[in-house]
Amino acid sequence: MVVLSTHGLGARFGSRQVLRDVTLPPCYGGEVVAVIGPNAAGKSTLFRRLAAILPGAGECRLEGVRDADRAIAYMPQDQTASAVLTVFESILLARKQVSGWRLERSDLVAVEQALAALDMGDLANEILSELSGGQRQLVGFAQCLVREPQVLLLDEPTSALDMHRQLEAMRQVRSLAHDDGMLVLIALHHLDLALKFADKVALLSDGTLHDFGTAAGVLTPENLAATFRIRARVELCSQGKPHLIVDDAI
Amino acid sequence: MTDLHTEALTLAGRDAYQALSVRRWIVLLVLVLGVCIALVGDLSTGPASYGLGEIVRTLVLPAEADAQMRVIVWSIRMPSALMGVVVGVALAIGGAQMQTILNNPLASPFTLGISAGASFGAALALAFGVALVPMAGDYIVAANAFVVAMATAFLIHLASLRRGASIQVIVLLGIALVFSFNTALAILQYFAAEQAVAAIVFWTMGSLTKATWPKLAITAIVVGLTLPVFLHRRWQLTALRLGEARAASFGIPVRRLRLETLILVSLLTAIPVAFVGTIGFIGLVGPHIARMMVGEDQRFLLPASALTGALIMSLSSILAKIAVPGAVLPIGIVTSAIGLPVFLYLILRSGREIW
Repeated sequence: MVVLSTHGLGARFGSRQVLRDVTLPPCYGGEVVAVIGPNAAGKSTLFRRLAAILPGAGECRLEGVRDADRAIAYMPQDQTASAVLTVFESILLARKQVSGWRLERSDLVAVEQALAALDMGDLANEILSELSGGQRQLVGFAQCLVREPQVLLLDEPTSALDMHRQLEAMRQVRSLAHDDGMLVLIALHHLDLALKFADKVALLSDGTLHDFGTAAGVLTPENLAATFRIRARVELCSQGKPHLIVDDAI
Repeated sequence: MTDLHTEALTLAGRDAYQALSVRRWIVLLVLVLGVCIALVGDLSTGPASYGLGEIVRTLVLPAEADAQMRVIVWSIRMPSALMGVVVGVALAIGGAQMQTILNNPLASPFTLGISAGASFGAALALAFGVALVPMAGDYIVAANAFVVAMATAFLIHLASLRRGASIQVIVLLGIALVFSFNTALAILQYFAAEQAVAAIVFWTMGSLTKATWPKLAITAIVVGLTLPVFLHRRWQLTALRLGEARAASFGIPVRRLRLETLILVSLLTAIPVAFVGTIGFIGLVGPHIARMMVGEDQRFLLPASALTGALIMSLSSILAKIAVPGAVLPIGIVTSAIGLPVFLYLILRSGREIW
């Protein structure tokens, strides 16, 4: 099983320290870990540090990895692209970064499977630059899936999706973790989604790790007031499911 | 039912992808054919009028042709025609990769000032014998052009690395470089001797008549060495067009790839410009036409750009020889005349996205 942990992760842009001493407790394969926090809390920076595309202080440890080159797949927040490539081609492109030099039949099959998993086969022949924001996010998600990683880092993959697609995408994320044993770290703005789908929640604020634990344990009125500056609480509905009730901004 | 539906749709995706690939191979084959025909046409045109049959006979059986014919075909027309093809390949590939690494549809050696820089370097040698590379000997003009062209490319690269450097900023910098080099060139011409000015003017117009077998060999070697590197990195280079963040998320060392590609592109564009002078718009127009035909998968875009560049150069070379009876126009004039309307079309086609 893959295990990810960090010790003292930090990053700075020029003189500005945007991530400070973030030490995540061990996160295990099979878990969905939601990374939440207000704007500029350092969520994207943390993901870029974890994906090793941003230098900085501290250490990220990954154990139980089968193939170091394809262990982590990272979906950045920015999904704009002006390339004249079809959706099929752009997903294939992600696959070819981790597979062999030549184009094999297995590559094409893997692309098909990724498209089918996200129910986006009808987009296969569309040109990437002509897609909507939500469709581009799905392509970004598929680009991660097609690489068959052990750790999935998704930076706000649902921000441009409609409600149906958000729930479908989150169900897919949970299935990848619970059924396929993948470790999924997912940055979310919708706290309700974190509450419904995450096994653990990491709450960032001002570049530091404010709290880490179960969703119910982290999404407390005190934490939400201190970091998001909202008056909110978690309550169980008539069906016994937890919901976030937001009363007001502070 | 939903699964079956999805399966059918994705299979259609794979089928469509494979059909697209076949179509692209056909485009490449047609381009190869076009280049071959244009090359023969280029060899067949010139001040001395020979029939196509005679030309082909001299090409196939040079020993049986008369001496004058042999010299014209093998020593004058052949290096010039092949140089046209090789320069077209080099400039178009250089332009395609420059557009890729700068993520800028208007990038080309000509629009970003690399050609103007080469002209300035060459003029330094032609006007005052200034050698930027010691011991350059007979190749002083080419060496100077190469050095300044490379320096210009690095300047653009440094600018593109700046935070917030947009497409517009890079294009404006290119325009500023073109004007700066042109101003410097004008100052050189003002102080240069009359004969040197004539040489500079002729050089800046670009001409294949300067082609020789050794120059052709050097240019072909540079193309032969760089093209396989690009082809080997085809998946990485294509991924750059998805944007820096996503390319980096694929594990691509974006900065290193950009820098290494830029070095190769500078070599690829500076060498031909150094040998045959300024030939405009091939590096801009060639890749754009190729992109319209085969998309941006570098497995197809690279050969299609190369072949389109070669085809435009060969056709321009023919036009340069037949446009004005009894005279051979510098090919740079012809490529600019063809390229400028296409350039304007690219700018005006869309308000926001030009790809």
